[in-house]
Amino acid sequence: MLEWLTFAAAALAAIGTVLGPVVTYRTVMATIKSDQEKSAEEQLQRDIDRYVSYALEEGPVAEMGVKQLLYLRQTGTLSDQQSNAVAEAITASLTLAQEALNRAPGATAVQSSDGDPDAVVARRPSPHQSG
Amino acid sequence: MAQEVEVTPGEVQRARLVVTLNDSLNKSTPAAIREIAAARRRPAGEASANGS
Repeated sequence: MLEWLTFAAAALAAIGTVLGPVVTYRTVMATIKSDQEKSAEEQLQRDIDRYVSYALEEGPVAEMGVKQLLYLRQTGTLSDQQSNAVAEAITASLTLAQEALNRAPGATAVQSSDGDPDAVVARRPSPHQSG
Repeated sequence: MAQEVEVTPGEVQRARLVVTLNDSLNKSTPAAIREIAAARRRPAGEASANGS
């Protein structure tokens, strides 16, 4: 009986000797992976913040920011939560234009030419012959 | 006589982004935002009536 117990103890010790480093390795790798994922998430959030700030500009910079955000959404990189936050932020930036349209029910939006300062300054709708 | 509200190209792009994101989230978009997203370009040579 004692021999069997000794054998069992030796066997367990042997298994522990083999499994110990494996368990340690897996723990370390899991920690590294977790750190990498966390770093990637932080990097993505920094990218999103940067693209939103670009999108709030005018001209080619805005175009680039918008396209980058659309790309992130289309590739599934941008989560629903992040997409919602981006949509809220961008919607808030359109308040003046929204208010101008809401003040004139039935009014249509017309895109000004690039660099037209009037479009930014003049927010009051005015009669304009259409068609 | 129809009223028009001038918006910048950047605002149009941003509105289109909002529409795309909200549609993908099955979330409603304010009518004014959709109107901005659908803004047509003013024909070349046509003067703006919004001059300040």
